[in-house]
Amino acid sequence: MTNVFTSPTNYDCGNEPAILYDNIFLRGTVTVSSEESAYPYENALDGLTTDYWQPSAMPATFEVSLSGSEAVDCIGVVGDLNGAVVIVEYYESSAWSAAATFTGVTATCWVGLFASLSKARWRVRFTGSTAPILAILYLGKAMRFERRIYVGHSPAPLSRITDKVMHMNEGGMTLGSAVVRRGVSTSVSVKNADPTWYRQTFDRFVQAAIDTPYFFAWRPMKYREAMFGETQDDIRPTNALANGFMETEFQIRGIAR
Amino acid sequence: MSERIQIAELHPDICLRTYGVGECDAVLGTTGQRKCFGTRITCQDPANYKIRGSVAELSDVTVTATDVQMTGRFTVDAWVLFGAASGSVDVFQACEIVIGCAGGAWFVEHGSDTDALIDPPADWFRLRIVRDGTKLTVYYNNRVAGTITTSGTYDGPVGFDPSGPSVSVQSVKIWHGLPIQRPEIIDYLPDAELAHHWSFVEGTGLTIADRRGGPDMVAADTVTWSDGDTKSVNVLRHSRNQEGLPRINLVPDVDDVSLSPSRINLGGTDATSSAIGLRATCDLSLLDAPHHDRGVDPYARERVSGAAQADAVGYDPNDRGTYWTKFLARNPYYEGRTILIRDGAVGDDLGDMEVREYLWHSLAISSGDTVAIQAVDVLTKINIDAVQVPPVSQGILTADITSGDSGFTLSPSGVGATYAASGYYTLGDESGLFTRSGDVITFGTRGILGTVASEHKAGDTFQESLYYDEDPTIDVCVDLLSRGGVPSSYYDVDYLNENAEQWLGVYVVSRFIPKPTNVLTLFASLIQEASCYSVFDEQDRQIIIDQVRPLLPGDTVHVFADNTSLLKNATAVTEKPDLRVASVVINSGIRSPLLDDKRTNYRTTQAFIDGGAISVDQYGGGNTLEIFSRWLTTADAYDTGLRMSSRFRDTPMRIMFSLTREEAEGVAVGDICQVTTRKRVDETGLSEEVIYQIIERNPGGATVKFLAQDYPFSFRYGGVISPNDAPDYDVATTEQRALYAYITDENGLLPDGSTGHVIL
Repeated sequence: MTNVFTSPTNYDCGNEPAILYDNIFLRGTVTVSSEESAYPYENALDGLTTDYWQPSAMPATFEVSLSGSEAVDCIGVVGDLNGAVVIVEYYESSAWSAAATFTGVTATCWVGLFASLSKARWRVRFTGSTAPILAILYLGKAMRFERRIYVGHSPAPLSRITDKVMHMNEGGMTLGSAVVRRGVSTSVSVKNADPTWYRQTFDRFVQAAIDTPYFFAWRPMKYREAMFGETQDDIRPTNALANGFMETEFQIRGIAR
Repeated sequence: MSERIQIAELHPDICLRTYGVGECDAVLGTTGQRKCFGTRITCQDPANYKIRGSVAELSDVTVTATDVQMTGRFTVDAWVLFGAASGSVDVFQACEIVIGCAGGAWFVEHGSDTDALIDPPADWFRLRIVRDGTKLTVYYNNRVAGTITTSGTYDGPVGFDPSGPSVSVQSVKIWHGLPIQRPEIIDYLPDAELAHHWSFVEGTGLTIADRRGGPDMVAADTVTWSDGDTKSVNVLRHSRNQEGLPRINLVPDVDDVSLSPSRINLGGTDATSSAIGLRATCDLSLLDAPHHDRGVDPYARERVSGAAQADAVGYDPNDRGTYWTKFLARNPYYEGRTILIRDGAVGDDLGDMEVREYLWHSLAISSGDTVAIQAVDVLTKINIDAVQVPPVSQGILTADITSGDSGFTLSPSGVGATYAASGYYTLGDESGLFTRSGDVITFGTRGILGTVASEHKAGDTFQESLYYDEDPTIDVCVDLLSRGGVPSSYYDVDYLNENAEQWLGVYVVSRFIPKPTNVLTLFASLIQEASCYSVFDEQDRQIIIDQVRPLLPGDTVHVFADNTSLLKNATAVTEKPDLRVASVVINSGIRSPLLDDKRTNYRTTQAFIDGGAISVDQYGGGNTLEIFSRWLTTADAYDTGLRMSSRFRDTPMRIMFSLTREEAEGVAVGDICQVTTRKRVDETGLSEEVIYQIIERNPGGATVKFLAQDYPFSFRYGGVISPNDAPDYDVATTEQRALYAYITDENGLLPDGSTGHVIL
């Protein structure tokens, strides 16, 4: 199932892996247009996939005012849009303008990539007849790897973890099976990383990954597959080459649909 | 393929009021104070704490909300009590749907479509109107009261027009998009699906607000308000960490759910459990972790901003304590609160899931950050509470009395108000009748039921006694359950009486209970002596009381076999020789209720010995089941003895088998099933079709395990008189032989040598 989208649809976001761990909603003043009493907006920002924000009226907005301009090029969502159109907007010159629009998204875990813009006030607007119900809403600047991942990687949406019990009757006929889906899991190998890039860019992600779940798309333009998950062990690099290039490997476990 | 999910739903109490608003006069005025957490122990002033709503009593008062629209599939749910109706009146209206009474006959009407309704219960009940497609069904509690096929609009007033009967109401809700068949789940659905909720918590005035922001109900005249008995609860849902969970707020901290089901003890012959069998328990294992408090603390947002603290300093609840350590600090009174276990499949609405109900018993937080919660079924609760009837009386004699005295004065002063105005008493080893005025007791007849009037000393306790005098069995069962504190929602009196009519219709029981006795002990003894069984079905959330009886024509029998639904390697057959009863000895006609159970205390001893069973040709002996019946007449004791000896003369066999959840749907504990398996064959080795009664249903994991016991009777019962053109027995079909009663020869045998019917 496709769960990486671009805006506009022909926008070339490249194939270097993208990780969205940054969320500007956590750094500014957040306001929402409405919320059901049992589904406050904080539930979409706590990193948990089992509590939700749901607006009580449509259209709905989820807005943040920052202390200064910040670059944004990626949105990550876990939840049901219920047919809503998602519009990422910025405020400038006394008006809201669209930075990206995503329509017809049916995936329940997805990432949207668009051209980077740097603004101080952002919002995500949902239009449609039925209110969405969202467990996770991230908006921020995706961290891109230096180069692409090639062979040896197990794409997360295809790497399922499942508990399964087969049922068979005494006569030997199959009576179906019982399944419990436990999500997806993959490992990511980073090789030949420039030591400056690792220390100035990648290590910020490493620090955030200690307690923050994130979105991961391994080859966003060609294989539109992403997951939302977290890393349970510390990520540690090694100096792989005499020129200082570094390498590391880490596991991600989470959901992909 | 089925993809299973399981949700544990906890219902601790939560206050109806908002801190510092309206009737809650709490104020953040003192350093160190903070807003409450909606719980009793965190409330600044107990007078502000309110968990029971209000009841609006409407007599000759019209109360309606105008301009309500109901769309698509909907459910209207109201908790009401209707008074006696006469004449022709509309009572309740939901848009164009009207429920009323004309000439004593209740009806539901929508436009030109109308159907008769059964009479509503005389007590509080759940009135539901469920629309699914063109079908509109009215329910009283769990029972279908009537159905109409209709379409059109649903746009108009909602409310009550009791120009005839008085109506009491505690709540009216309307759900859109959900045709809810099971009433008990309605309160626990997410608010997002609730379109209107008139909760009648105002307690005063003429306006009942719609808590969902819709039109208020307004009374045309004065409403009488009183305290309600339905509690407000917080709904806290916990699940395993898995995909496919429904889109509702959940804490994914469940590590394991272990359900031990209840088990029927047929005839009370299984000495390993009480006469009412084994109780159901639920053991939850959860993982503890920090939590943000949203959904738990009504003021979670204000804790962060500081508005909930007198010093206005905010904090992040996620940084303080863990979910369960905070829960225990805020909710020490969790015992006895409801826990629901919901079992379903990915994609199920919450209301479509199987639900099992338990009562919270204990909570323990271990050193390894795991939490263990144990919950028990409602019958266990009353046993744990050791409820006794009659309750212990507090009055004592102020002075010595003789055997001839006609009365005395109770002490301490005022204690007389705790006694009935008249009734039965026990004083030492004397029982009798009394009347009372204030603290003064006047004896009626002294020394009844085998006791004699005697002298008593100052300080002796004057105990009020309880006497069931020729009451129907079900009435006594229900009275004991009620006295034991079991909520009436756990038993359907009409259904129990309907069920009992066939075999307990003329059974009346009598018992004098002189002193406080454990309610569950009394209930269990009555169940056994009336040849019944009882179990709490935690899925239907109902106490079942049924008779140990033969299969009747028309009884539903589930059919399972090796080559159809029995799961592989899960079928086992066990003989239970300890349950075989070679003889039944039943003592009746008690001489004195104050004396112990010995044969000398009973006038009649009847023995039912199956000579064939104990002969050297057959078993050569066996157990004796002796019953000391304090409930039955000698004639009824005979029936019980005969039925018990017939039911258990042969060694019962038990069969354990498993089904998929889909196959197990609709198969309940107490049901009859026919199982054909290679584990039980006839003398030629062919698998036999054997009838069993399900005594345990264990919904563990991906499959459902059943335990069932043989269902044989050595006599035939339950035949109908055949029509004139029915064939003789020897040329009748198998179905005809099973259905009709036939006259036997002088030896009681039918042409094929089998035993004929017995008239009880």
